[in-house]
Amino acid sequence: MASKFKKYFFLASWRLGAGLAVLWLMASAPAMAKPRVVLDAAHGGNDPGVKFKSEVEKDWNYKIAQALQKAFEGAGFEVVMIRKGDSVITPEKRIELINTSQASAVIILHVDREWTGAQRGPYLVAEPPTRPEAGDSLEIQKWGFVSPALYHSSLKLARAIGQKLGVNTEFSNLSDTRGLAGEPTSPEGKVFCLPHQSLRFLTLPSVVLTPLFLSSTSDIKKYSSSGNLTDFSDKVVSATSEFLQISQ
Amino acid sequence: MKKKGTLKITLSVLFIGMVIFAAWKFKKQTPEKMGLVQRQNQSPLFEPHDKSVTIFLKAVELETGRPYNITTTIRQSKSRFNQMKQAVLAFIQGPRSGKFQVPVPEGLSLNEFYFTPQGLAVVDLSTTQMKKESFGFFEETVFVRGIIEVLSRNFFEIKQVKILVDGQDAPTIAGHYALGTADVSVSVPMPEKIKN
Repeated sequence: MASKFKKYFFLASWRLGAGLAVLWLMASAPAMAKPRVVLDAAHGGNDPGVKFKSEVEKDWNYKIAQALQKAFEGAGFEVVMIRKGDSVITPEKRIELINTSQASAVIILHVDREWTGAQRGPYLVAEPPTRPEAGDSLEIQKWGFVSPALYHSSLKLARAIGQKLGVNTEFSNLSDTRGLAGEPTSPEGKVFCLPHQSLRFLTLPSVVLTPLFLSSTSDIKKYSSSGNLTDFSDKVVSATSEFLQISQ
Repeated sequence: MKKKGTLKITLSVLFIGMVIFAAWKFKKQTPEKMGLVQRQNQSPLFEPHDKSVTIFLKAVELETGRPYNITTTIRQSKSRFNQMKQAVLAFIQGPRSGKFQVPVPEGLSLNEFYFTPQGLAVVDLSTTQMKKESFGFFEETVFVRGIIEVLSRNFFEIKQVKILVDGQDAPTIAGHYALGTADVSVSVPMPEKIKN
C-alpha cells in the first residue's frame, strides 16, 4: 500500500513539475524571442562632438536615440541603450558593452557638420574588411579587425536602412576601395565604406547612422519636428526588421 | 686568326665596361631609390627656375558640398621627394575661397613628410592648434582621402600612405575617421604619373 502511494505521489509530483516547467517556458518564451538591438548615441558628457552655432552633436545624438528606442520597443524589440542621459562613456567601455550585448544589430548615432552648409543627411557608414596583409595580431589589437562576413552583414544593414530612408544606397565616391568589390561609386552615394573609430573594434553587425547635418538648416528643421522624427524612427525599425527577417 | 680573337675580347671588355658605366650613371640620377627615409627639411623644395607641373587635388564644391577633383601646379624640382612634399603642402594650404575648397580644419599644419624606398609616404600632422569640434566625419573623410589620393595618384612610387598625428600613431585626427597602417593603405589601381 505504502509503495503504491509512493509511486502515485512520485508520478503526480513529476507531472506537476513538468507542467509547471512547460508553463514557465511558455510564459518566458516571448521575452526570450525578443530581438535585441543596440543604440549608441555617440559622445556625451564633457565630449560634445561637433558643434554648429548653438547646435551640439551629443544632444542631437541622444534625442534621436531616444526616438529610436521608443520606436524599437513599440515594435517588440529589446533595446540596449549604451548612453543614458548626458553621461561620459569611454570608447573602451562602449566597445565592451556593445560586443557583450548579444544583439543582432548595432546602430551608432552621429550627427555631422560641414562648412559649405550644402550637405544633407542621412548617410550611413559600414566599416570595410581588414586587409589580409594587415599584419600580425599586435597590429590587429591596435587597429581592430573586421572579417569579410561581418562587413557584408553590416553593409546589408546599412543598405536596408538607406533604402527605407529613401537615400541613394550606392557607395559614396569617398569610399575606401576595400570592400567595394568592383562596385561603382558615386558622388550621390550615401553609403560610405570607410574606417570609423566607432566601428573598428565591434564584432556585431554595426552601422553608423548620420541622420542630419547640424550645418543644414533644412535638416535641423526636419528633425525638430516630432512627427518627422517618428517617421524616421519607424523607417529605421522597419529596415532593421527586414534585415533580421522579422515580420512586423 | 689570332688577331680576330683579340679583337673579339677587346670589344667584349669594352661593351661590359660601357654597361657598368651606364648602370652607375643611372643609379646616380635616381637618389630617391637610395638610402633610408628621406627627410629634407632644410633645403628649399624647388629652385626659382624649375618648371611647373600640374597635379590633382581633392576639394569640395561649395554649392553642392560634393567632393571633386581639381588641379593645381607645383614645381618640378629635381627630387621626387620635394615634389611629394610640395603636393602635400598644396593640399593642406589648398583653396579656402572660390567655387572649390579644401576642407582643412583651422590650426592644422604639416609637421613633416617622409618617404621610404619601400614606397611608404608618411605624413605627420600637427593638431595642437586645431579646433576638433569644427571637424565632422564628412570633412575628416574628405581630408584624409584627399591626402591619400594626392600622394597615390600623383606619384607612382607611392604604394602606401600613413598619417601620424603630432609624431605619433593616433586612432583619428578629430575623433571619427579611423587611421592605422591597414586603414590608409592605398589599393587604388596603379596611379598614373601626372603629365606636364
